[in-house]
Amino acid sequence: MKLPQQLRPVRPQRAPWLVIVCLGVLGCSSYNSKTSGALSAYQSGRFGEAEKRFADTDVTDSPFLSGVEAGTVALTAGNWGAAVEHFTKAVREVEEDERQGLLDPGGLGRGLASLAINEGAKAYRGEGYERALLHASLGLAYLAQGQLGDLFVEVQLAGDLLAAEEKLYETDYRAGGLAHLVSAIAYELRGEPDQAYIDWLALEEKGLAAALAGPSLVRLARRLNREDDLARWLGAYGEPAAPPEDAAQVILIAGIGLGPSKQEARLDLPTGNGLLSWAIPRYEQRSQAIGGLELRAGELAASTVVVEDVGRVAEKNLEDRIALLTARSTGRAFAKRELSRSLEKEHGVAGALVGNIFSFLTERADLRTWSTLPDSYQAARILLPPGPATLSVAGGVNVEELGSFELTPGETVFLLARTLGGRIYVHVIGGARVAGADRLPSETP
Amino acid sequence: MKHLSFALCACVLPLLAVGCTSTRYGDPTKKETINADYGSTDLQTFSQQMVSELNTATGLDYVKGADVQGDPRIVLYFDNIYNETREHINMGLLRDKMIAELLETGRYRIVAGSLGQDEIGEQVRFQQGSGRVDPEQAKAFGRQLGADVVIYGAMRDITKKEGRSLENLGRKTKDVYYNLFLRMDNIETAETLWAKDKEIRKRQVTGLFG
Repeated sequence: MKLPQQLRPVRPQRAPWLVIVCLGVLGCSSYNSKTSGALSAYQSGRFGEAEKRFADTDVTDSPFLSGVEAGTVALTAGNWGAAVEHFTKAVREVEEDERQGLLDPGGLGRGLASLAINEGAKAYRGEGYERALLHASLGLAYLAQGQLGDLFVEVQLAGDLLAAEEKLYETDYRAGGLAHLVSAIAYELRGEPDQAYIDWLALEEKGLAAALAGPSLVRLARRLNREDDLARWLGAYGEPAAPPEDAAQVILIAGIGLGPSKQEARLDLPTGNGLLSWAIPRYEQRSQAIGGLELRAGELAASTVVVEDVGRVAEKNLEDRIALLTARSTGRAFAKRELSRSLEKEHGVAGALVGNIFSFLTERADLRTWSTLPDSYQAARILLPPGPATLSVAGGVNVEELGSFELTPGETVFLLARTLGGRIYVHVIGGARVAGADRLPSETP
Repeated sequence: MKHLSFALCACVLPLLAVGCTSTRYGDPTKKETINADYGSTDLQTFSQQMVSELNTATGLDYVKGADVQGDPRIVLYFDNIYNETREHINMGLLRDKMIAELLETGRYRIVAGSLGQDEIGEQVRFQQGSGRVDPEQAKAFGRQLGADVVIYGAMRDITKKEGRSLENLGRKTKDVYYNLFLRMDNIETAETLWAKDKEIRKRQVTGLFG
């Protein structure tokens, strides 16, 4: 007796379809679920464990993400050598893409014809703003190590990448604030006020960190004899308080909280010919226990201002790409439905069912993102007379006492900080600690 | 079928060739027009033009022979060229290139800048204080040449951009004007002996498809 078409068993030579379904299902666990343990360790301050987990490419499935995530953890822990090592690995993963992108910004947006099972099937090379922040973060690690030459290389690469991104999307991300800030400070340290002026000007024009950029522009315009500019900045920001003679300065650069998390938005539409599944990513803001910090040096205090709103930049970046991502998802939805129809023709109801399950399970939004980035980078600066100074950083209900330092004339002391939940982690770069004034150990890595 | 294979090869092979990576040396003096940003050709043009002007400037003739040793060359201190543009340009590269080309003209003697003074100071202290150098040959402070003139200046720019629109058929345009201004002052009299500006204008048009 001949069985009806629908009830015939699946022939052995068609078994590869089942293998594809299995592989698709196995490959579909999201970046969020794979890295939740590492992220949780990071948020809890278990930096050694977090760094080890993130550095494992079996966890992230991406050498780039392993490098940036583990590097960020090491930076928070004050482990500068490890931070440089991890970030450098990430840079190596994408340096060829970066070179191409700088020469041909349009090339960054190509790839509509991708026939991947889903977006996550392709190697993750980082979004443009992430690559720019990678260089800025590597620059911070070099700054902590006192390697100004390497710092310059990184901030210039960050600036070039952002320029290429903005050329591509013709949009003003108000990104690159961290790179501009670090670059401005580094040029001032190197005695090149004209170059520092360019970065302060860029921050001012992007509407970022006006409380830092304004007084700096007044000071530098006066020093560089730019009379027209000086009048303009005095009109906008007024005359800043005169710094003490031979002033030393303390600069706080802080990553505040955790940036938004990527989640999936999906639509499954049953049709007469099979299931159509769309899935695209969206950002979900996290609540921040600490919104900003206050830098205190003896009697003086300064609140941090936003230098780079990472969460906003990430959302804007996704907005710019969402049409492309939706188009790709649509292409895949129809291709997979065609696959279901073919399977139905070959194997009847069983084939259609397998096809629809395959469509449902494999159409996944790409949730990969640099998850340990802060929600914002903020900074504050205090100019103070040389001599002993007691430093602390306050945020929320917490105060991180850093101890007393002897500041020499013209010296710059950096505080690199990160907040996670209600906790503040601070590292002091420079300054001679006054003997017997040990720091209260709350952030020891 | 044969025709189809040939057509496929004809389409695919050029794509593979485009996708290949290659490295080769290029002519450093060849015009570079990758984009409108400041580039190597601008550096070479500014340096050559300014050095040529400084080599032939007749207003400097009276400075000749000022040196007590009878050397007719002008003792020059090359100060900063400030970057007043909106892009980071390595002005030290322009300054160093001009110094090298000015020395080749044979018209100038150039005294060390701040970096050179640091190196010289370290070396003099070593020669004087390490005990390793023959005291008769050890150099001392106080015998440096005093510059007759100082050169300094600034690079400035005017940049205009036009976005894509229907009127310009979706093309983007960036127009950049660079102006390099240099002046030479007599250190003793504060008189400006020479001043010159040079201009470069570049226009970058990006089509609809990049």
